[in-house]
Amino acid sequence: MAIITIPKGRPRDLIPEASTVLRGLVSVRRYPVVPLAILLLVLVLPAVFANQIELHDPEIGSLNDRLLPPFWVGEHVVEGQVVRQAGSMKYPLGTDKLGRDNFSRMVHGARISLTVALLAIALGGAVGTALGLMAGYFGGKTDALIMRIVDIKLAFPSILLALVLVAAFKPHLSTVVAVIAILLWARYARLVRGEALAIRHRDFVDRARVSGASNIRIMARHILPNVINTVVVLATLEVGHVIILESTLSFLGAGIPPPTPAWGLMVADGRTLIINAWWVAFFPGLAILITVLCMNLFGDWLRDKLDPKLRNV
Amino acid sequence: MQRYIIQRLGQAVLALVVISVVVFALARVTGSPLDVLLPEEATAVDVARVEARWGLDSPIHVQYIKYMGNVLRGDFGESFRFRGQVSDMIWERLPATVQLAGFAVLISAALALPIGIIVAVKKDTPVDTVGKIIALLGQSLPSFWLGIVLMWIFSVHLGLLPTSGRGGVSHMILPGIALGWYNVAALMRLTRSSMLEVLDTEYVKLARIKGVSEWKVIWKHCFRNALIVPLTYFGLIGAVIMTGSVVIETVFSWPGVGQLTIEALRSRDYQVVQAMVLMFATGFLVINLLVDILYAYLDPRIRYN
Repeated sequence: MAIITIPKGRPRDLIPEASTVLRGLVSVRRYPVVPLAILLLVLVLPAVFANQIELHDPEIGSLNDRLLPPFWVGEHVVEGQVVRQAGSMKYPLGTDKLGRDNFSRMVHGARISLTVALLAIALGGAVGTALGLMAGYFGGKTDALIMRIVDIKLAFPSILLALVLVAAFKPHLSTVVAVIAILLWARYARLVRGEALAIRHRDFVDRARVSGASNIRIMARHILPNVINTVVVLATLEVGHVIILESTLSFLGAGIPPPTPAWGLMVADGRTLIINAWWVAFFPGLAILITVLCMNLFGDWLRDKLDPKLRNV
Repeated sequence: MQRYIIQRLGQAVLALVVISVVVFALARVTGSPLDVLLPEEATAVDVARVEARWGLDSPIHVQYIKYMGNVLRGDFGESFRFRGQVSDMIWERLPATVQLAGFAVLISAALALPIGIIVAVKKDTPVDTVGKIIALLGQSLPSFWLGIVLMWIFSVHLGLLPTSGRGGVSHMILPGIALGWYNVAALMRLTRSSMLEVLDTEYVKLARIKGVSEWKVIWKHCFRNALIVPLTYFGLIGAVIMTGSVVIETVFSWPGVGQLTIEALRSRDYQVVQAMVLMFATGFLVINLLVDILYAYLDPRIRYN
């Protein structure tokens, strides 16, 4: 358990971990996290401003430009006949079987992946943290009930549960977000409950209670700030995992419905084309790999910085 | 110990009941099975006939109890889409999945243990860095994409291995690697850290001082002791591979239960989906239970907590 030294002073100073976050942010420059952040920005910024950049329409293709290769691939000639045109800068990463621009679809796909991941983690994390706080703070029957539910949830095989849930409801972005949040909340609940349990009998909690603070206020203002680091680290570590989960669901046809460009869906489209048009499946998968890799590196680094005791999560 | 096992067993059964209720309810709340069984222009007489045929005219809790009663006798009912018993369909496909999963576990162990030992012995050298990169890639590579890229390189370009389907050993290599890859990374990391711990102990230092050959130190004194931790992880490997098979079987058109699940989901064949979820969940729970009991056996602190 974390040993938090509580400085004497005004109540505001009794939240020591907040300064750790700041110190962590200040020392960002000194760590290999910088190239990673740049890489993320290369991915995140285009995704955020996808509508402002001049790009081909990600959902409507030109049927004359079907399955064009990336710009560096020359034309393919068999027995004097041009089987495949050469790639050009018009479609830098080629086109798919409906003549849609691969690059534009990837940029818009980044939006989908990042949106789903952030919303699902925010939702799952918030619910899990709230339940964990309640379980840890109130203890007794509340604790037993919540932790039983957590145990049952953790016994579910996650991908299968997600598949069934998405298939049962209408496939839509919000469905996917909700389903992934359902898969995520339990870990936050378990982790936060453990931390809350450790601090609910600390002096500053008792003092707050004596001075008449309500349970909700104590949880929100006195316990939450002490566990928020853990939550943030877990959330960061889970971004990569969630992006893979979302793309796997899309790949299996149980995610965002077509023609919306989602990375997993693009890889699924390219699977049957791998012999003739490798680029359709290759680049979106590479985008997943790079994003997840960067997020994992960043998460590891953040954990070491803020919360080394999470090493085994 | 007994009390702990009973408690965990009770939890597992409770989880299974919850899963069965959730899946059973989902299949009925979100659209009647009649939509799947009947064409749109079906008459009221047809509807009544089909309802009676499938027992859909009784209240939902009666249907559930009847269904679960049958399931406990190993009868998962008839498929909505294909004429035939669901249990027959599963039995027909199960060997393919077990074969591939077993092969993937084998590959994971055969790659991860030696690599884990080597990177531990060569700590802080370029070899160790390579190991770290493998570990990192293990967490970050989406398995379905890895499968497709492997297919592209080894089947399409080099023409060394078949692209998909089931056949001899050569058919298993690519899907086996794609399925086992995540575990290779995880198991390798565990072996590495466990080896490092043992390499640092007094008895290993003593063995070295005595002049025992390096190979003997690593094999006899370290590896055997370091193996305990990775062994307990094998339960989790089973769980990861089970869910992974759904994905990889789809990528490589491997005719196992994973592919069957996806086909059933796409054609809304709830009878098959229900059976598959229950089967996967049972397997998952049994593995988790065994791992928990093994842990409790190895670490007495867990039992009394």
